[in-house]
Amino acid sequence: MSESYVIIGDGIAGSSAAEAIREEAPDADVTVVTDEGEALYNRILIKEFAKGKLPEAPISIHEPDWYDERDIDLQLNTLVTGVDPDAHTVETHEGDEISYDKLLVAAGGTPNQLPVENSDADGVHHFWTFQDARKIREHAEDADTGVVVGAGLLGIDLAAICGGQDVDAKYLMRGDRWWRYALSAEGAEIIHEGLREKGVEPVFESGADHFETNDDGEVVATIDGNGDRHDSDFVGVAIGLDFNVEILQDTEATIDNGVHVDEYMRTDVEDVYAAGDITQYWDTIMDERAQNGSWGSAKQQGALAGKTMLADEGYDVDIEPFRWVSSYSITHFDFPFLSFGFPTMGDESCERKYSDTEWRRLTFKDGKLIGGVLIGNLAPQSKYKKLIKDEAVVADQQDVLLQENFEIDELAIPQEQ
Amino acid sequence: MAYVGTAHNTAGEHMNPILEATETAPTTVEETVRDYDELHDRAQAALPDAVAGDGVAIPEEVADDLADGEVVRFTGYYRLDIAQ
Repeated sequence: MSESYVIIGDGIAGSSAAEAIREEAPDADVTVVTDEGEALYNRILIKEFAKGKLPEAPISIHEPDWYDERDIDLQLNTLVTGVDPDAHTVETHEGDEISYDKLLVAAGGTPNQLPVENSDADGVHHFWTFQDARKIREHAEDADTGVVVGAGLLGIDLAAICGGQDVDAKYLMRGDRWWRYALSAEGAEIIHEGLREKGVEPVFESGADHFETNDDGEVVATIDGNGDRHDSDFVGVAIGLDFNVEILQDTEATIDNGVHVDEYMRTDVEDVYAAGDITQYWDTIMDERAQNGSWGSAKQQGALAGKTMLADEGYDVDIEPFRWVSSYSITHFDFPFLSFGFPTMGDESCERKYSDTEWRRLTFKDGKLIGGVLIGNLAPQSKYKKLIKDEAVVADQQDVLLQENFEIDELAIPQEQ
Repeated sequence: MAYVGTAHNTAGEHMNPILEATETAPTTVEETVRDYDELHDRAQAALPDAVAGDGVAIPEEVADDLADGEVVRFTGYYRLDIAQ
């Protein structure tokens, strides 16, 4: 066989798919197309580069040699603009066509811009790629004052970068706390205190109304929603992503803030697959669609997509439905933070504070544990993940679950589970 | 010393590997660094104890997820030592 596999995106999802395909199909044509100018790098660690903590070298994961050694055609700086499922081709920004037998879309997303005046001014940064990190680092090293907008998992990285670069920064939040969908006031206050210790001051019930610029078009200040002015020659914005689904807009793929895929990463279009944070995948634990941007989830989805593409091409490859409990850590402070599963969903929750830097919250749906947040002590994470994977009905045993140290066999779990 | 995962045998036939984590200066690191989120669940469970203490006994499969001498980013940068 000399079939052709084309992968759009060289993040961890696309790269894992390429690796899985090459392992099983040594003679196939494998092409990886990315609009970025460099091969796979560690997207988790670019914040450490931007802080000035790490040089460039440790961020790289794959050098071009990695692709050469595996006879994978890596096409950098190439933007795919459309897919023709009937012709089985993709078109690039330069008008070139690439033919495929199986196509994987792992194109990720693009940061949203704030819909306010001067949000495109020089000095207003979004943070997603290594190239973004380089610009942020260069600017933050010279900045005296800063503002960060976006009270979520990406925004706090920008706040930590300001702290790491000694930028006197304000962190504007529209609500009364950081990540209000997953943390109570008590849990969030631990994070707020960690931010203050880094020199970043949270400003609640604010948000950005507009930015002021100088004659050169550079940002100099942020006016918040209350009319207060904050000097800011550096601004970081992280208010979510637009997923790069437009390349599939003329196909029969179901698009809903992402691309619908089944539990094997197949889209609704024959021979077209998707993986990574661009997917609205069928979560076999929650029995509903879900989306996830964690590194581990993208890696698993990419590898599974590669195997499914092979299986659908006729290779004797075992594939199992995607079933994964994701987690995401924040390690900017002296204490660690970890969210797992679906901490912003559910119909019930419980929480407990153990010390000034140790707190825990668990969320449940239909009596089953579905997610949570751990601050300080991450030890119980694997037990909680197992309970989620097992779909154990344990919401009636919150006292046990919230013990600082608990064992699964202390829980009375119905046998039929 | 803390113990994580499977039991170890003190009679001498078999000992679990010992994981130690020593804080290192990040700016001197030139080799590949892994983030805590890249580790397998089992290694994620073991690392905080290794960071907090002198060393933890870990199952073989956790040792297989880690590389002796590698640097991992957690609440700081830690160089791992795995003694078999």
